[in-house]
Amino acid sequence: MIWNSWGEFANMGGYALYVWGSCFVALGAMGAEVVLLIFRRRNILDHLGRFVGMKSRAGAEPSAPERGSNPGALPQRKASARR
Amino acid sequence: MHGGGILGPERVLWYRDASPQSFYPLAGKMVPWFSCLAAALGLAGVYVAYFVAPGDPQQGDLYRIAFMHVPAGLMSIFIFLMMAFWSAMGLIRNGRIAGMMATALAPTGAMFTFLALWTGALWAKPTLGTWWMWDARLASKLLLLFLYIAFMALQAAIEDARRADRAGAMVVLAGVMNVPIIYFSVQWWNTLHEDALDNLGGPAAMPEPVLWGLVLIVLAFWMYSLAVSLSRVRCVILERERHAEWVAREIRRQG
Repeated sequence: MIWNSWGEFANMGGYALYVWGSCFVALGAMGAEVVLLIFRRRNILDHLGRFVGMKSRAGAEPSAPERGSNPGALPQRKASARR
Repeated sequence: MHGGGILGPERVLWYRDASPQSFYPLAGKMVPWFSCLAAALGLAGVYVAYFVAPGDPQQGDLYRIAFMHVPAGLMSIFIFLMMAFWSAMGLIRNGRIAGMMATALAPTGAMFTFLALWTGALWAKPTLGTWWMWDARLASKLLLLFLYIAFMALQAAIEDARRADRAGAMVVLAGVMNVPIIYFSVQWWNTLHEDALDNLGGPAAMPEPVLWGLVLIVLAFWMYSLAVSLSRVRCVILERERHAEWVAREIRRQG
């Protein structure tokens, strides 16, 4: 262990602001990215879940597998966020 | 043809024209592995970097910013090169997954570019006396960030996925020429960054734990990028293929 105390570790030889300023932003950025991704996935599952629910309630036949890359118009929805 | 075993998802696509439907579960299986690797390598790297590596004779403990700055800088370039690869694949083979991978990689690459610039500024202020300077390395890195943002903004503005991919591909393939400029700028021009590198010395000069710390954290960032972008590409697949029957089945299975 190269540090004599936790205090020294926190102090980073006087450069605490710069080193910890970098550390926290790094961890924060990566953490935020992961959290945003979790939200994104949850949003998609919610929106599509409602859409799938609508289709099955309407008694519609499930659509045949399409190439699917053209979003097309969704029934009576505001333009959903693609991201 | 073996498509570069170290890179991960590329390997799959050489064997058959993979569809989003088959790639979706495959990506899902890879995410936990890469996440665990990222965590393990990250913890090991942080331990070596902050608890084993000695202080620098000139810069004291400030140099430890390098353990975030260097990996972030490397990943920001590497990810852009991967986006260029996927963009080219998308244009050449006209498959759907290639474009999706480029889209999925962009936010992570942008994040690392920002991180490289931020940590660089924090490192420069006490050592070189300034937060920023318009030298070749810094300017080209900032340009890289703008390229990432331009890519993401352009894709967000175009409704049709195929057209969005093609537009994004143009940005990336035009911008990829920036990458060697970033990398070699410290050799080609007299830069602020070059002075900083001289102070630290090359791989031969640095103590072993410092080298190990850097290697471990670079690998950790790489595994993290794979985990996050494979996760994100699954989101992109669900969004783009939402009319397909298999997606409906997947949604019902989830909810």
